[in-house]
Amino acid sequence: MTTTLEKPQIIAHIQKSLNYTVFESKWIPCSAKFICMGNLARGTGVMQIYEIQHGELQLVKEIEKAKPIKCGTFGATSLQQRHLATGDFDGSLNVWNLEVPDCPVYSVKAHKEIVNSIDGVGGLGIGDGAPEIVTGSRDGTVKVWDPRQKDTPVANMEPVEGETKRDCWTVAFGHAFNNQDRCVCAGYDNGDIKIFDLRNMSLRWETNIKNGVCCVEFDRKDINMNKLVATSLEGRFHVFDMRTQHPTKGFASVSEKAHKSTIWQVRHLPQNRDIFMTTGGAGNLHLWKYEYPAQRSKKDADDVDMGVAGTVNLLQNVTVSTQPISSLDWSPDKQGLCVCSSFDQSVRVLIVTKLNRV
Amino acid sequence: MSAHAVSSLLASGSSCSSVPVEHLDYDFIQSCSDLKHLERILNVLRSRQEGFYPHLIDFCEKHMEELDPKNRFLWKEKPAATAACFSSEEWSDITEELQEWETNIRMNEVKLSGSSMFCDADSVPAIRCSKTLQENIRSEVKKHKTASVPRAYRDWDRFDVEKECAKIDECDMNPPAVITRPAPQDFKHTINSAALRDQEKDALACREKDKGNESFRSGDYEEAVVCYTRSLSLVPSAAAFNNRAQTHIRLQRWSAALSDCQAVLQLEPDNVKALLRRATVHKHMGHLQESRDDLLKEPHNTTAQKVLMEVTETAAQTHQQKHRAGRKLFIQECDDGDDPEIMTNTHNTESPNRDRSEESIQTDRRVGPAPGTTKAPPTELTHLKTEEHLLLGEKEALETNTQTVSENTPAETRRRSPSKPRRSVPITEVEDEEGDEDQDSAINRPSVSLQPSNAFEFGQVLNAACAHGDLLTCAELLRNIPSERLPQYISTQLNGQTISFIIKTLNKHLRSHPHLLYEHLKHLQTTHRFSMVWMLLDSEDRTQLMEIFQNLSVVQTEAFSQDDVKSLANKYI
Repeated sequence: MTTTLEKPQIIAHIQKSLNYTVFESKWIPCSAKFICMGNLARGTGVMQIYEIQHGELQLVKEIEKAKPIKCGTFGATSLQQRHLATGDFDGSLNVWNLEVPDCPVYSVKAHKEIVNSIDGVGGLGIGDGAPEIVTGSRDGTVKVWDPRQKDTPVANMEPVEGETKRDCWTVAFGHAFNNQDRCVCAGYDNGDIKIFDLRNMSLRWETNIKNGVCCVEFDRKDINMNKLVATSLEGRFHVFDMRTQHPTKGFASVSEKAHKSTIWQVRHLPQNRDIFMTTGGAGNLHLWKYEYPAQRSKKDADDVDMGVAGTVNLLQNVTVSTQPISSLDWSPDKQGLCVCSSFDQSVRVLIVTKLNRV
Repeated sequence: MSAHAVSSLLASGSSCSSVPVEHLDYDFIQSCSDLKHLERILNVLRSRQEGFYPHLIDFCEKHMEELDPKNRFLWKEKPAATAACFSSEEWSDITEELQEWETNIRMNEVKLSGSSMFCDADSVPAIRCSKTLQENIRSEVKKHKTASVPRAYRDWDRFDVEKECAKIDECDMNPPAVITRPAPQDFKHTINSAALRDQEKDALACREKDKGNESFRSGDYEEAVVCYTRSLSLVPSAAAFNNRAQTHIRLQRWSAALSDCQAVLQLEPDNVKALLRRATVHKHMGHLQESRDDLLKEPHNTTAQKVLMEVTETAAQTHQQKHRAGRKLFIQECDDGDDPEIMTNTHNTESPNRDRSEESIQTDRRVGPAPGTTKAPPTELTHLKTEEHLLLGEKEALETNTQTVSENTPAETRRRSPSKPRRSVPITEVEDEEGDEDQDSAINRPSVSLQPSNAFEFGQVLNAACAHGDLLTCAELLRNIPSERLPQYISTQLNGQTISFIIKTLNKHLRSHPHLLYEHLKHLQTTHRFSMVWMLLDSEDRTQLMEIFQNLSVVQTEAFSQDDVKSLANKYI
């Protein structure tokens, strides 16, 4: 049928087996290289840089560190420097210059427990304003760091003493459309999603989606908040329309059940904010497209504006592995190229075709 | 026992007892169009409880795909595509593209690392200062944390009903403040590019343009303009100008769009999109000749041809008008000395200063200024008033309007055709067509045209006419639309007022077109809600209807006979 031919195809271009558990893989901006971070069998951390050459992966560099590395981001560095900020199992935040990886450019003991998630903004030309890194940890705190300020975070969101701490599983920056505005969205293991406004230093919105939140992402970091996707355990993800905030009802959302297992990651295509990919616990990938409704806001009974959520359509789905795909990253330079890593100790380079015709 | 009962008994042990075995059959699936039932059938087949029929499963899936391609039951696990799934041509395309990209990006990377490493620390904003505010965060978080933990049993001893009620009342008193979005003015319109190298500038400009495209697609035109402006402040590019021109067109800012189109054409004189957009802008601003010139430069483009046709029509009409030295009007049998049926005219060659606020709703041009007068045909003409009788109010209204029309009236000393009562002169309605500019006109400019192309436009015109008691406009409207589409156009807007108005119009103005009248009536009564609204007709409307039918029955024509008229009349009366 012509319709199936017009759908984007997900091609498994290259696959490589590694000898360590890989937690995160990220493209190095403005290059054909990516870096994998993980945990060697002997309990130490490792970072490996691979380059795509003629349809094959070549190992360019291998860096070993004392503690296993859980997550990393290039978000807070300039395009020229391309320093990698990592969070490790010990709770430390380090910023590395990959050319000279012996000593970190910036290092701080960010949390008491493992850093589950990290995000950066203000670098790579994304987001006006100061470069900032946010980390979320199992100790329940979310901290925002500026690489120019040593030892103390710029902002700290933590539960008060005596309260039960909920693990923070994911963090994301958003709403960074000028120098001062920033928002941090954090997802917790009890299903809480909270948005902190860094300009007013206050909690802007919170909700609970009943299942632990595995990943949150804004569709674009450097615009007025437009959409937020939150994925959770039990195969459900929610897309919130962030244009209109109702004082009591909050943001409108549409939710979809897919994957039949935990949805580990969601990543928006950098070249089109309405297309995103979710990765599942059964080794499958789903490519989705969001369609806007005819009217994005309407008046409710009391004549207050409230948002209207659109619809989500499945474009394509494939299964590449039997183990969960723990990380996925779209290449910012080439539309459709992405790297994903899974718990079967392998990393795959995928090409998604026909995205410009969607 | 019937086969049905037996099979249901047999199936009752399984969870899919609702699907009898006979339904698991090609013919049944082919004829079934109930999606829910098909889903159940598919479930049964996939569960293989009744056996494994792969061909039947495929058949069922194909049928469901025809009915509803987006059904989630059609989601299947499949492996990633590999080289084997593509033809050798496609595969070589993909791999070559990737190869090319690799080499390019490697070159770029070398360039990037080769240039100097000076980091302009001044341009980066200061560290966010926050020490004092951490406590606020904590206290904020604290408030919410207490709410989520369920109260201990002992706490209930300390529960004070009065206090809690008072608190609730307080909450109701202070409604939560509405949180507003930052306006687009808060965005910076330019980017400080002093610290950036060329590559970074290009990348940033491209990114801003992409953001602009996305905003455009989701309908946020103001934001899109800001993004394109930012992109242009870094690297002026034809594409960004072009896109900004299109956004301005959507926002109806014609002069801004024009300047952007000019900018593109300076960079790229042959840019098709820019020519087309400029032609559209000219058409809306009334410069028909320039519009034609632009369109003729690109004769092969289908959109250009379409717009060219529209422009030529409009031009021809104005030309004709000027020649006839006046607007043609429709004069009805006015032996009774009825109100002059003067068509409201809109002039397409409006001088630019008339069109001051470009975003203004253009209904104002057409519909008259006297809402109070019930049957006063609003006009912008002058001369006819001397002929038939006018209400005083109209006269004044006309005078005020005359000034705006003054540039036309001297030229158009209108000739009239008054003396022959039955002569009907066809109207040339001269106003803008509802542009299909660039084949995507998402704007619905309210009721400029009396040739509506959809229910919304029709509704707008009708409502406006109804509000002003403008029977003439209504008559023109009804004349212009095909009868079969009348129910579709009226859709759900039929109410007592509307139908009474339509009946009056039909009675007054369409008497000379019995065929049209008949067709309209025939289709009107199939409109949604007609039966309900019909009961609301008052006696005056019914007398009007009776008059209509009497007139119709007098007329002898082939299209319909006396009996047809009688049966139609029965439906109405």
